[in-house]
Order: sequence, then C-alpha cells, then structure tokens
Amino acid sequence: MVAHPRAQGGAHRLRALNAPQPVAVEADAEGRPAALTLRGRRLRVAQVQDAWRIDDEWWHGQPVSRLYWRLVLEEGRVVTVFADLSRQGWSVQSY
Amino acid sequence: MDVACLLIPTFALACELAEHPELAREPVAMAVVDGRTVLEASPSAARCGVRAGQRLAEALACCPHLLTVEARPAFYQRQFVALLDALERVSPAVEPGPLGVAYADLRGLARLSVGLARQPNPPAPFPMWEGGAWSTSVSTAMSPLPVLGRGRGRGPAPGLPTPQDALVQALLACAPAAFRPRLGVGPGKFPAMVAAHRAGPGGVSALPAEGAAAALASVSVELLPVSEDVKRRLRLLGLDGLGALAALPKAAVAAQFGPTGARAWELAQGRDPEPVRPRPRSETIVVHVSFDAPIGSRETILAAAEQLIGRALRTLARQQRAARRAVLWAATERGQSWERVVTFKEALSGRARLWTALKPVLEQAVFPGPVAELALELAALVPQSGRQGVLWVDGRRRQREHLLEALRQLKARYGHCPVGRVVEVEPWSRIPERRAALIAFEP
Repeated sequence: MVAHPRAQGGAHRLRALNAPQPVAVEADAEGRPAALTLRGRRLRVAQVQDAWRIDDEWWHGQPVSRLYWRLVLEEGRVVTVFADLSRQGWSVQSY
Repeated sequence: MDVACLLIPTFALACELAEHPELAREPVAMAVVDGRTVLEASPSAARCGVRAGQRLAEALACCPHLLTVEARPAFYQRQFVALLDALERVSPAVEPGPLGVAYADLRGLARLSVGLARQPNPPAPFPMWEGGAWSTSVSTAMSPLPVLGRGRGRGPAPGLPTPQDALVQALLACAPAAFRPRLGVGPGKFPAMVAAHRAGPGGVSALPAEGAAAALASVSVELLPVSEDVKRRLRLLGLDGLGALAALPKAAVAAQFGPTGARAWELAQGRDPEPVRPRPRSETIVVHVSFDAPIGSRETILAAAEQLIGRALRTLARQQRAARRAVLWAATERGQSWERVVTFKEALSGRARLWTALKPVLEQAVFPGPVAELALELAALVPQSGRQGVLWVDGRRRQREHLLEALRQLKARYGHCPVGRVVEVEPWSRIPERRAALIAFEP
C-alpha cells in the first residue's frame, strides 16, 4: 500500500484574484480622493473619471458596501480605488 | 484549548548540551558556531553580549572565556525530526515550525488519553492567564488544567488528573528532559507559542481564548511571525508591545504594512485562524553504509555509493517504481555532515542513468573530513511508466504531455506545483474579487 501523502487538497487552495490592496488616500472635504500613496510615492489626483457605488451580499453577515472612484493620477496613470463604507478604509482594485 | 506548542529555545545548543551534560553543569558561556558566525548562545553568553548572527571574533572579544561548538545542522535536523515523530504518536496533526518549535492539534484527543490520566500524585497548578495577570508558580508535575475563564480552584476535583492534563503531559514527555522543553496551550498557534515562551523549563502554561488580547498586551512584537524589517518598523513607530498594535485601527495597520500588518493585528487580538497543517509524509527508500575506518579516498567513496545505488534499486525494482529525487548524505567521524539533493529531469529506475546523474555530484563534492558514514535516499517515488511511441505525430498533444511532465517535475522539486490556473467563479458579480480565482494546477 502506498502511504497517504497527506497532500493538501485542491479546494482550499482556491485564491481570489484581484483582491483589494489597502492604500493610503487623502480625501478632500467632500470625501473625494485628492491624493494617494502608491509604493511609497505620494501621487496627486488630476481628474476623477467616474464614481459608482455597489451594495451587495446584504443577506450575509458582512454586507459589501463600497464607493468606487476611477482616478487619473498626475503622472497619467488610471487607477480605481474604493472606500469601504462598512469597514472603513481605502483600497485599490482593478474593476 | 485547541493547539499545543512545544518549544525548545536554542535547539541546537540544547542538542549539544544533551550530548555533553558536563558542559551544562559548568558556568561557561557557550555558542554554537556555524563557520565564523554565532548560531546560538547560552543565557550566560548572552549576558556577556554574545548574540546570534554575531561574528566569532566579535563574540570572543565580548566573552574571552566563550566555549564554542561547531554546528552540525544535519544532526539538529534529525533530532528535530525524531521529536516530530514522537509528537505524532500523541497527536496525528503535528506541524513543524522553526527549529525547536512544533505545533500539535489537540481537538478530539481528550477522549483518547483517558488511559494516560490514571496516574497517582497530587495535581499542582501551572501558570495561566487569570484575572489580568500571569501566575508565577511553575510545576512539572501532573496537574489538572483549570477550567478556562472560571479562575483557579474551580477546575476538576483534586486527585486524579483529567485526560486533558494527561494529554498535555504526554506531549511534554515527547522531548527529552535534558532539552528543557516548554509547552504552551492556547486557542491557536500564535497564542500557544506565546504561552510556551511564558512557561518555565520543563513547565506548561495555558492562554485561554477569553481575554487573550489582554493577556497578549504585554508581549513584545519580537514574537510576531513577521520579517525582521517589519519588526524594526514597528519599533520605530513606538509599537513595542502587542497591546499598542492592537489598539490601532486595523485599516491603518494594513495600509502601513499590507497583508502582513493585517495578520499581525489579528494575532495581537489573540485570533489565529490558521489551522495546524500536518507535515506531508512521503515514501522513501533509504540505504546507508558505515565504514570501520573513515575514508578519505574519493574512489572508495564512489565505489561505496555505486553499491548503495544497487541496493536501493533492488527495492525499487521489487515495487516497480521509479524515483524523481535522490538525497546523498555523508557524515564524518567528528559529527560534521554533507548533504546534496538531486532532482532528476524525469523519474529514473535504471542503474546506468541513476549513476550518470549522481556520479558528478560525488566527484565534485567537498567533504568536511574523512567520511565515516554514507547514505542514499530515493524520494518522490512514482509508478514506472513506459514511453508509448506514436505513428502519427500530434504536435499539440505531445506538447501538452511534455508540459504535464514538466509540471510533475516541478512538483517533485518544490513539493507543490507552482503553476496555477485561472477559473471563473462568479463572472457576473459586481464584486471584482468574486469573479475569478486562482487554483493550484494538479498535473
């Protein structure tokens, strides 16, 4: 008989892709992002392209409530950040 | 109390002192030296300023009477594996940590240790977090575990210890007393490890789930399982204790330190959801030969290695299997060791091809001295497979077969397949991280 390899099964090795990454964002008085810090560099927001809100999984114990912002930074890069309205804090994530 | 942590501080030094107990009785500073760097230092050496990672010359300047011992990494690893084997006779789920640290899952084992509980001797309490402070009494006797959160004196009736205590004492007995092991019990791996640090040599300590955050408040961030750079940054920010870290908002810690900071924050709260993962066991074929007189001639070593291959292949042929990896190991009469791991491009079962792969390794090996013992281990055993030729070449199919074979080799090399596959989970979801996932590719 071959000994049980005790190898970890495949199910719990499922890793979510595109997980949000915490980021430091400076917001103005209206709550709009004015600057953010990416990889140690502080970058000013040149333009807000779009903003939208999602409220989902409210039937779970931990509903998802986020306010997304698509931003154009001063160097020309486009990033998407969101403010987590239920747990507080900002994160960057592709949408 | 789900997890136990068996801790042997300065494990390499403990192994050396167990072999030379007369040194333990001497009031000398002792350091295990790896090359020109101090690997571990005894408490008396540490008091003189000797510390791990220090250059030997600097350590001797701090402590002129320092006694040094040449490190034997392979010997320490074998001692650690023997310790893990002993723990697995008590708990089936044992996870090795750094050298000298092992975790055991205690869930569901209390009923199995009823027989162990039939011991005489009156119980004595051991340190645990109660009422906002750590108790100071230390006991190595069989003792009942106080009921969590309900204070001392309201545990089981005195007299016979409970199966839970017998289980804990059985875990402690897995390490030789000369190693001065410490055992910690807690709701997770990190709380159990902190409790083990709090226990005295040969003692047991417990950290209950209720009030774990308060118990961990005074613990230094040095115990966190994070990189030295993160610890340095925590100290720079004035966060010397887990209490200061736990008092901060989680989002702020995560923004500063990323996922590592978020996990450290959870640990500071006393929450460690990571389960105990048993070490993977794989079948191997091990053959070895000892020499009456140590051998310095390379030709003789090559002849002995060829003989070992023949013996290993006889067992391999009986099982009709092939090996993807081989480990060559040699030890000198002074206890120094040499080891090389060779992963083959494909599973091998033939003598000629195996010798072709291993001979260059032995010819170029630099042994630390005359060889007293030589061993060969064949691992990652797989069924023998033939090569089926095809009359009409299907390029894409052959390419896929080559790819799968290469992935099997990677898995044998690293223990897991480093290639993943993207699968759609909820492509319609408005939450981006729900749409797709990465799953390990199993070749």
